[in-house]
Amino acid sequence: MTKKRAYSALGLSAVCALTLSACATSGSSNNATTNDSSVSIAITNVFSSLNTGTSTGNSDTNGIISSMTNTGFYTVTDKFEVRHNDWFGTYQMSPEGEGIKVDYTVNEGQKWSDGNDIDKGDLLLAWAAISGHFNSQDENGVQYFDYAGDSSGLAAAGKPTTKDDRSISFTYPTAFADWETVYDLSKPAHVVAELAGMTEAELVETLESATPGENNDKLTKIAEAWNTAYDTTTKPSDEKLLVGNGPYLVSDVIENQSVTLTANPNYQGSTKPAIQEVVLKVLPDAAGQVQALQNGEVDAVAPQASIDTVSQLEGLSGVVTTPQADQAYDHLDLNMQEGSPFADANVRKAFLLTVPRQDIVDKLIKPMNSDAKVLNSQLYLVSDAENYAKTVQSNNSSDYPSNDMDANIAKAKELLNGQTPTIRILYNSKNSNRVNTFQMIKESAEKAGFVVVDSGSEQWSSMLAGGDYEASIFGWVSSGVGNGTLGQIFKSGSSSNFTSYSNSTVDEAAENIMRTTDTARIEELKMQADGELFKDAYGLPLFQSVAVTSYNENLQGVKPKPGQYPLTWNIEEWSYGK
Amino acid sequence: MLMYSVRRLITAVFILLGASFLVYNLVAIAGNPLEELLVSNSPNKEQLIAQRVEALNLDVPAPVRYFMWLGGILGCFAGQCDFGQNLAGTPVTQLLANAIYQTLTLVLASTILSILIGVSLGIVSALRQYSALDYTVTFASFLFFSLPSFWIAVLLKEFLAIGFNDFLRNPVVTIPTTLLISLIAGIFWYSASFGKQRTRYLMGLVGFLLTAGMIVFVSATQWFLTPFLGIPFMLPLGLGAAVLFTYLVAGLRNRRALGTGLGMVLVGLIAYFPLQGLLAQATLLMVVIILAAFMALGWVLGLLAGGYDRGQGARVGLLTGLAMALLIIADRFMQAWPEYISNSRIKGRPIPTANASTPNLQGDFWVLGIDTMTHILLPTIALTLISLASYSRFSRASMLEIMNQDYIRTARAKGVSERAVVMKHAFRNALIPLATIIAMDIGGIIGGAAITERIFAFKGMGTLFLDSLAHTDPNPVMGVFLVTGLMALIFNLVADLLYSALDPRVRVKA
Amino acid sequence: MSSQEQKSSQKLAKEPTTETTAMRAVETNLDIRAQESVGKTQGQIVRKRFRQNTGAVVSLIILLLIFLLSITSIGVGPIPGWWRYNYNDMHPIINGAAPNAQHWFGQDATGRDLFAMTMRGIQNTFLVVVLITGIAGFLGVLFGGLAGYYRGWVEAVIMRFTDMIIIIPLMLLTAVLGKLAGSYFTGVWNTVMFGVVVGLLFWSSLARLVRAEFLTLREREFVDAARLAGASDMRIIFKHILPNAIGVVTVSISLMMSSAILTETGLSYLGFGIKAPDWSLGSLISANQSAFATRPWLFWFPGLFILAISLAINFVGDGLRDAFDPRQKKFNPKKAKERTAHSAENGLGIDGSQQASVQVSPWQEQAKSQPASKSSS
Repeated sequence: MTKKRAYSALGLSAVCALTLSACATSGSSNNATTNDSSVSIAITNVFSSLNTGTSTGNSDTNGIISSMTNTGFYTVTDKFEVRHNDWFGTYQMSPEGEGIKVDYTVNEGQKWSDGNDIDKGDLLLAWAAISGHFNSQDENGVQYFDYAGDSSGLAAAGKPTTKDDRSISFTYPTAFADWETVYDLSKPAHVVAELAGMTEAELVETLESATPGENNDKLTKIAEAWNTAYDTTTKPSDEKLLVGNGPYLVSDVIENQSVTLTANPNYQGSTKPAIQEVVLKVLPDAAGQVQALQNGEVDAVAPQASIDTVSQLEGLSGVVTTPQADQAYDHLDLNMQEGSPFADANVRKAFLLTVPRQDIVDKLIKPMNSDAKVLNSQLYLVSDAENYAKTVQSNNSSDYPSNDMDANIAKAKELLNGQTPTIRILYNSKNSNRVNTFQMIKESAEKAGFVVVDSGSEQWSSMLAGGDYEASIFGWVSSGVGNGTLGQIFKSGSSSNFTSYSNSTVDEAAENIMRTTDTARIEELKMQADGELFKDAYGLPLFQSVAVTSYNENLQGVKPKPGQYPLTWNIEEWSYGK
Repeated sequence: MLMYSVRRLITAVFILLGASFLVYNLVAIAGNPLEELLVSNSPNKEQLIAQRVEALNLDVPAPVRYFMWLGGILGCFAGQCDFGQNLAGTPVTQLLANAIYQTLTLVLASTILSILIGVSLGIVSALRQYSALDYTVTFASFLFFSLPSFWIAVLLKEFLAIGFNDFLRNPVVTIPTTLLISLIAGIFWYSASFGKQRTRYLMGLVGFLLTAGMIVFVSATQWFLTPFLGIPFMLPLGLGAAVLFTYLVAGLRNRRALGTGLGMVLVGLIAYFPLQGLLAQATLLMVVIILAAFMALGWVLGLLAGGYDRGQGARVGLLTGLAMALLIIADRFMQAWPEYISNSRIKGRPIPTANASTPNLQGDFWVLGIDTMTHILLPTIALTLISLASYSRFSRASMLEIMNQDYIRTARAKGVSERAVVMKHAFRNALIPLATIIAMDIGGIIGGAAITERIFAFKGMGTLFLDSLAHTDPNPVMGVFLVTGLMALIFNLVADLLYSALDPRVRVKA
Repeated sequence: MSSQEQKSSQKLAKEPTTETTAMRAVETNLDIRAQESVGKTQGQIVRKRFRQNTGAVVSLIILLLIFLLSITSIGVGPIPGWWRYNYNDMHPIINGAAPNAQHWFGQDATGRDLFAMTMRGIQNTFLVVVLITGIAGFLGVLFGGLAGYYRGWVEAVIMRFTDMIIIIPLMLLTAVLGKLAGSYFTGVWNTVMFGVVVGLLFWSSLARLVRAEFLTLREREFVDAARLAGASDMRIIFKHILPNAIGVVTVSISLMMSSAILTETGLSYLGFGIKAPDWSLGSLISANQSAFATRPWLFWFPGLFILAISLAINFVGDGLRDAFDPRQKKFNPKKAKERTAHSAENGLGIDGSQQASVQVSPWQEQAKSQPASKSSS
């Protein structure tokens, strides 16, 4: 009996051993590539699409990845200059009749990472997507490309002409200020064609022959491929989707955690990337980003700036921390619609005089960025130093100094002449900076005799258009290039003009600015409008927010840029210095 | 019982329907998905708004939209689930799948640990009620319970991750630090021990010396850089485990059980060498099989040893086998540690502060395993500390109540040994109410731990819910709600059934 | 706060406390400790036993002191306090905003006085906690009691309703609340509404507990007696059963309080709690959580108050549990032996009434300072 048991035990262990060896890995391939030139960068949001042009894929993380995997005719630098990428192709503008003509030519031999030439198909596809040319004007009509950006500029040019296989030309009926930044390369046409189940030649033919607003099966397939085929949160099984022409290509994705990009061996740009691999790590928490940088898990961060984040970063050793003025700015707007006390210009002026702008900047912004100054223009930011300095000279902003608040309040009292208007101020009660700003304005305005009512709400964005308030504090974000915002915000009746502001000079400037390509004229019109805005006591710009970046001091060539892609815009120029 | 369960499940469906209608409309009130667009100054604002209205059917009032959403959900019964998409166009089902996976990675270990540690602490402190140990445990668990989780997380990152990694550069503990740590350990041992004053002083001294010795050893051998167990550690640890399990399960007087335990230690030590070759090519499956094989072997060995109470021997063998297998596996992980630390992607800083894994890390099963473990280390500690309190307080109360029952008195009067009274009569019964609590908790696991997830950059269910709520993205919010609600209701039922199954005095209304 | 973290915090409230009452202890008269309850009302026994629990008493005093400090320092509403600053005004920054003689707890970046803010935070935290536990306590007892007493369809309906409440996410409701704040209610009403809403979701665990308690109590003889005597249902519920369940209710409410504080803190961290310009302790530390390394005072002072209040409430709750539960006494074999030995030596009766004259051993001396080891005194 015991023997039998012993045998069975033995047998059992033999079976065990067999099973065990059966499930062993077939020789561990331990070829750990020693990667000294790898850099990891913290990002806040998760990756969801390889095409940042669509309305669903249009997020900052997708944008960062797209900007690394795709290049085109131009790059916006850290100084917000449009830099033409001459190694890739050329484009120039020439007057043609009333309007202008812009000719784009891709250099010979430019290829996608899979070796396919960059040619007419790619240029046409980009145009079709960006211009929305084929979409029906009727809202319920057929819609093809779901493009997130502004189509109106390029749409005005109508159908382009193609001289040869590598060029495309647009003819705008009137001069157009933003001609330099409305068009650029999008996704590779041969890939989109394949995704849509056709050849590139068929795609070109479809784009050339389709009629706008009419149903077209092939075009629907192309648009569908462009709109949704690139949406993925993991590494796509279809390698074609990863084809690009930028310095890096996506090589691996861990869902919701990280995206790895590897240098594109076929990159044809003038600066070849020195760093072999870029890992983007998702770290939503700002404090977490700082600690990850401290722990060496990431080499560069651009967290949401707060007093503590900035001072913590500045306290770290071995990193370079740059706080700078962001492209976003907070401003106080006055509601001038009829019945509001602010319909009276004197009341507006009096109220604006009481805004302690210097104090606000000192308390809220200076602790983060010691160079911070009161913002004195509605249309220029300090990143555009030259023009900003110029406009401040002439835009009447000196009517609202804020160093001597006692004098201001005395002046305001004089203007009010004994009135005590009730002012409801709308702001986002969830944003502590706005809450503090409100508190300071309230304290100061009440000294002059205003009755200030707290209308702060989390629903401020829905209430903004309603006009059920006298003043509002919120922020605008400036893209740094393009001139469309002047009209969008300040033109009479525009959808982002929430204050019923109307000034014919400004309206004219907004119209004319888009119809000229003369940069000097553009600046002249902008400054003119800027001056009008202060003269009319439209409201006051308060301060530019702070953007902070911090990176490992061994990294060379990092040029932090305020605004959208603070770190990665010139990633091909980065290297590890020894 | 079956009828009752079916009825409860059917009610659960109706509860979910009602609650989801409510929640759907609340989500609609809580946030307008157009918010960020309404205040944008981009020139194509209207176009963007129109696109989003189109994508989310915002032109339909919320109560009606609910039924459109419900239609997609009900499609699940027809085999075609449609939970909708989030604002970025990702299907909610995919988001949920990933979030559940991440949540489980994050929460599973800490749930198991906090149950094990919490219950044992509770039982021990109940057995030593009003002793210094009891007070220490009470105070510590209340303290951890009272600490906001983000606070614990920040402290852990600062000291355990960054501090430990800095320490690893030169892993030598200075003499004053050694003395200080040992002193603290000594005081802890003193206060945790019980009995005569002299014994307690002695225990304190032992604690002091042991800690100091360990620190000196660790410093001298650079143990943190090249950790190992090997035979010199596995032998005493294995023996300790064998004796402990024998004591708890069978009592040391059961020589056959003790023999089984010791036998398993021997088996483990002998198997250690031949197993190394196999382990070099390990997969997860293999590790599981080894664990199971050791347990089975221990069980068989216990049965073979026979004797008056074979079951006890088998259980001792099983547990000791498990302990030995775990030691062997731990030893193998330690062997991979130097390789892990020196990996170019780790750069000698093994404890990360966030994320779930090191991207692009190349390595075998052991290196990747270590990577996962280092990543879940901090969140696991944080979550365990937070939830320790409830389990320890609960099991303490439950145990105290049982220990005052008449049948315990009877058992004692019969002359049953204190070990048997505690382990056989009290402990098992104390677990009955615990089982229902644990069942409810497991139902709640899937909800994730939003704050911890966010701080440690795990994209689990909690974060999915929160982020979507913050971005006023209705479909993922509803998806998370459905999954967590369903789990909660099911496990609620399980808890009720379990309670009546374990405690014959409670009956479920049929 | 996440559902997981929140659940674990509510779990404490689910701890079973025995349904025992002094009455039963007298009834069974098996337990020697029943002797201490002879001739006393339940309230007297509970108070006595609570007073003997040093930790709980000290905690209660600390709680009262903190409360008084917050009330007197910055005053309440229009009534001014003795502290010279207000929690809202911004003052010039002194000493780099670090704590100093002018601003005891330092200042925040805009120059607000942190001491005043912390005091305001304590007031609001107390207000929220009282509201949450008040509402949740009332609803929990009501629903739990009705379900447990009537059973049948009443129970089924109430318990399924409880299930529904359990699955509705707290964060969602507070988010909705946040949207309404500012337009529908302002100032202190924000805080009040927050307390009310959280309270409306917080009662489910208490209801389950009370129901379980009522289920056993309703089968007891005294309930039958009352019913036979012709008492109405309401009278039986409120006059006969509820007083016997008061132990469970008190204890779980005290534990609910500390989870309410933590829930509020967690919600503030996630942006769903009390919002500036008003403060709660939770919103203060979550607003300043990143100041941990750079301006630690902003984080530590409110944080320490949260810890102190939460710990104190837990200890008071623990003391209450022990006080309400005469059976929750450890049978300590060693102690029993020792007492028997002493008793034998001194010829004492089992009730220990002559204990005072006994020469206590050093061991007992030590035990005396420990609150509830009172079996021999």
